[in-house]
Amino acid sequence: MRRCHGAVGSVDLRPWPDSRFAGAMAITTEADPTPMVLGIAAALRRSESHKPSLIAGMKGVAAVCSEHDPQAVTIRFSRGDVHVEHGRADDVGVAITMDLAKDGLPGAPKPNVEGALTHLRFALSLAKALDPPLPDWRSAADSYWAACSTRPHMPSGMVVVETDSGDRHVVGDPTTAGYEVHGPADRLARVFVGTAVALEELLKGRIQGRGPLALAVAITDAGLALGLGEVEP
Amino acid sequence: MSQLSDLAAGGTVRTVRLMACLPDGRLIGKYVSATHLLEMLPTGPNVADIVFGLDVDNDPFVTAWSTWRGELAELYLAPDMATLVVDPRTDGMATVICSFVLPDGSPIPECPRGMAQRLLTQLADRGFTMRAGFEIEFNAFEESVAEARGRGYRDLTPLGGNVRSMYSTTKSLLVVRFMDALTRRLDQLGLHWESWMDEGGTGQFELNLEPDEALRTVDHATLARLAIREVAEEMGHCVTFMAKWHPTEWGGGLHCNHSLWVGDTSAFYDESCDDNRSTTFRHWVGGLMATMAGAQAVFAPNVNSYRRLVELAGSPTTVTWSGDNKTTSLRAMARTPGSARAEHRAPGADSNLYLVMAVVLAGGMAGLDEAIEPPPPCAEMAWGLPAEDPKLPRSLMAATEAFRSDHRLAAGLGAEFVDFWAGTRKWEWLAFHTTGGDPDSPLTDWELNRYFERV
Repeated sequence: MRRCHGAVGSVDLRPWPDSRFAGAMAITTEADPTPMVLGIAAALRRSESHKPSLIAGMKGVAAVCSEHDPQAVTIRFSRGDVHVEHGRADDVGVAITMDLAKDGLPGAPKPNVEGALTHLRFALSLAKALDPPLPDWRSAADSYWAACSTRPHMPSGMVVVETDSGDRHVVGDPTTAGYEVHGPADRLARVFVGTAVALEELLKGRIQGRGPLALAVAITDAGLALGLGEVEP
Repeated sequence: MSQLSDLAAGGTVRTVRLMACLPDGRLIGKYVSATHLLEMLPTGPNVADIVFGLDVDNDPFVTAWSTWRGELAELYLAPDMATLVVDPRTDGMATVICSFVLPDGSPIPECPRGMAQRLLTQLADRGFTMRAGFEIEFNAFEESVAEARGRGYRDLTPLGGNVRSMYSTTKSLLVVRFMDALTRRLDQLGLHWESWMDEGGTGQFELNLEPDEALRTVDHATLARLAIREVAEEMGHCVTFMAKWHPTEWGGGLHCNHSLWVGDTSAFYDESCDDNRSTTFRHWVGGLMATMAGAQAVFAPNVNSYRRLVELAGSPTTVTWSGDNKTTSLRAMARTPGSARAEHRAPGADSNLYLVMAVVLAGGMAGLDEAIEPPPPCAEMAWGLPAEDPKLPRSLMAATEAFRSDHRLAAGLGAEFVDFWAGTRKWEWLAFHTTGGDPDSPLTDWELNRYFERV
């Protein structure tokens, strides 16, 4: 494995019909994976459930690297089978280097993409596969609750308030909802999908909350577990 | 209490440093006037419960919670006045070791000292007392801590030079002066030391305290580790208890020697048994073997701890035991009644003394309760064994998973502690990978900056 600079290898992008891969896709990770490996694998699984044909048609090797620290992953697409491991392999075709801390934030700098000119279709597919569309904040909250409500220390219910519209949505028991989360639709969706860390969002003022610290931590922990693919939405 | 009254009345002690050990091994507390403490006893001052919610960098754990915590509510330091030592460094200062308790005085499930104490009571309920002795390993450097910080803890000069040796008695005078100052300090503190020696790595030393009643041993080893750091600072040197401070140097360990007794009789020795190991000893070893993989999350608590697990480099790497084979993780020796003991060699220098003791007790008592027979002892070299031989977990997350799924450790340590500790270890793993650590680097600045002074 090398770090995120170097030659760009070859990519074979030959889309296959959706039916060939429906339900047969395997997204695997190395043993003892890093958080970034788990996060990328979870994103690819969300992408696969949104549009199976996209990943099923991809063949090639890509890397995603952090701009500011040593985090990097290599993703091997092989027409339906995907394997994610840490580090940047020597044979990557497309390499994306990005500011992970600002990913998904308004005004985030554009990632630097190596190999896009040579492997245009693969690079476009890769960009889509890594960034599946966010669900509506209400659906995200429902999925989050379905997957995480039985985790340790979770509240019996939760009130979610979208601050631009003032709309409220309750998950779990509405009579004993122990925590309220307030925020704009995009940030709420990211928190409940697990691509944003609730307490960090709270710390940076991007969302607000009302309730005990215990529940803020439990809700954050559950979101992290989703983001790392420890629990399936 | 009466000792403090006398010392305060006589003007010997004005200030008491009250300190308690957090699960990650850091010592925290308050400095309190002796007269104020005497008014407060038996409870000491309060601290905010957030101390159980922050990592070594003061970042909040978001993957661990304790059910007794509130919104930065108060918890208390409960001083154990039997641990009082007059601090020879400063006129009028004393140090007392505390446990953490809730406002109603009940123990906190995650307090390492409280947990060790509770398990020792359970051992007493089974009719045994434990004596223990730790082999305290550390690395010392010629440079001051300020100089080490300025260099990012790299390019330091090991005390005694760069020549590797073991048991050397001819290293530079700097070594003897430092270790002599240290042992004099231990004498002043009333900590009975037995020996010190040059260890295998450059600048690496081992200090052995006299075996004693188990909790006293852990308290004394805690004070001794503090004294090592303080004496080094006073002499313009620095030390670290990192498990691996340099990619090519040997790692540091914290071997835990211990034995069970019924009154003055060794419970580990029985001449009628194979190799003099009593049935109690055999079952104790069985329990330690059965819990060894899960215990690794406590014995090797940081990402850096796993860099120590190198074949043929001093540290054990396998789930093995033996009679007298220092390549295994556990030795069980019973040559004479007085020396019959188990030596757990898996704990790293960066592990928490109280938690090591608690995990050893939980594993050993499970062995007694279930009459667990150990696997056959390892008669070969336990390094470089083939894949089918059981190995210690080789990463923090692998160990954490083993810890979380070990029902015997959970029964002894408590489900609440298991949940909390596993959560904090996951946080440590996340912090390493997402704030600058690099799994492909032999040693990162992230580890040196985080651990060199703080473990």
